[in-house]
Amino acid sequence: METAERAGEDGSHGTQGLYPFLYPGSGGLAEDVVAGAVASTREKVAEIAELRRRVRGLHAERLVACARDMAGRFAAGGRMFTFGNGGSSTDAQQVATAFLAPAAGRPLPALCLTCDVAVVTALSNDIGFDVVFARQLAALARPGDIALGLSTSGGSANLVGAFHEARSRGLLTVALAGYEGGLLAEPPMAGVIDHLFVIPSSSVHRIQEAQTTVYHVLWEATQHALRDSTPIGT
Amino acid sequence: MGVTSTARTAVDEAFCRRDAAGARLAEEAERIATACQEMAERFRRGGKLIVFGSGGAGTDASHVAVEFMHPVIMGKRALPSIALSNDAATVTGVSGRDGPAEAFAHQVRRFAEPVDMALGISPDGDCPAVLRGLEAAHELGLYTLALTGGDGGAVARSPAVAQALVADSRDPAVVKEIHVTVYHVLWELVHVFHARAGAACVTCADEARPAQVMRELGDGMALVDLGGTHEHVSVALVDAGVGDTVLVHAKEAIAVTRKAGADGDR
Repeated sequence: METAERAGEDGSHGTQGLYPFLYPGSGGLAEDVVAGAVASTREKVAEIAELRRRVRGLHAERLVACARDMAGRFAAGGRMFTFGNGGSSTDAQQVATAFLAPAAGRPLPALCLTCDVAVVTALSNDIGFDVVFARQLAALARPGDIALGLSTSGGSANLVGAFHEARSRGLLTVALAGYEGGLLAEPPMAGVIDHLFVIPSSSVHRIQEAQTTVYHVLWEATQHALRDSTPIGT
Repeated sequence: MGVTSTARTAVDEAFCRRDAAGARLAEEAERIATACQEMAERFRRGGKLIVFGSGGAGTDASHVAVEFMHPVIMGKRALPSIALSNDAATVTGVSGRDGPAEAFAHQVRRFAEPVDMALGISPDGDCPAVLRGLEAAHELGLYTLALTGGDGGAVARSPAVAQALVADSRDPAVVKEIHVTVYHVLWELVHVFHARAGAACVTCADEARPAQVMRELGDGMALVDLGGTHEHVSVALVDAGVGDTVLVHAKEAIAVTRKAGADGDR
């Protein structure tokens, strides 16, 4: 197989070695790239498995405590509001639909704050993107509800604003972040966020994948906690 | 006592359930790479990626579209992608009029061109709307790709699907998590193939990519790691050593973005 790498090692690099696509006859490069792609895929699979193991060690006990708090709120009639930006907005939607319309288990009231495009664009256009979740919480939320926000960086201003609003209204606050937690892990937020789950990774992709596991496990544990705490016949 | 003990057990069991299914994803590596190669070629020819799924999989469709449209990694070009589950008016309108199975097929027929790609996501492989969407795409000549789980379902068995990637779990939550990893890898590898195909193109101004220097080869050349693939590039224009991160454009390192041992590197 005449790969670009070999072309370099035997001293024949130069234009053809550098730009093999200019030379249709040189062949081989695609196979080289495919082999690299296969190796890269296996590496990513191993990375996320290892990250999930770390997350379990760091957060298993804390997820149980969070699920117990959330079950208590749901049992008392609380609702959950979820939010995030970009890919995390799709996770916020997944969290809401997982709780609201599960295939099995007890359906619970959950609403994602990114789904109403009219509200999101109106608030962004008229006031600013930083208030896009906080203003919705101000209108919709009651004491006893739950606010759950997801961010990979932990640095989104509209999440910080939403959590402050939620705290001032007596909501239970749950945050998922990556890297080292960003702004959400800073001292000013200590009294604002009740349960913060930081995924210790610097890859946005691996953070999102591990966050998916965290909120699925949180859903499952909340269902268990609700079953345990709900008296028979209610 | 019950609350803590069964919830705690549930958490432990839930994490365990993910390990084996996640590890088996590695066995799909060749098929994932093959799909990415085909997708990169179609993007290069002007194709777009049309994604759809029902329920929770609709959020994955949105995630895939935003991944391609607005890459999180600086310097990667935006590639055209749309998620058909995002338009609630059309989805509920078509569902009400023609039945829920037509929600995506209807849109595919209006948006799709033969050079495009269709990606249908169905955790159990039995979503009628996803199946119909992929069938409509296949009829129009699109490259059809499916993410499913369990035994693959009707979607994986359909002759209309060119490549079905099946997450080996019956738990829809675990299947979804594997799908997230798969589409992140799809995105990344599409860019690897796309950039390689673009190496002969002089207009690829936004294709500078970060790479780590693995070995110096003399004559201003070095072996570097470009997101999992190894390449020979010229480092003649920069002062780079082993372990440094350089920005590579058209096989030429044009800047050193991080010296070896600098804070924050993995």
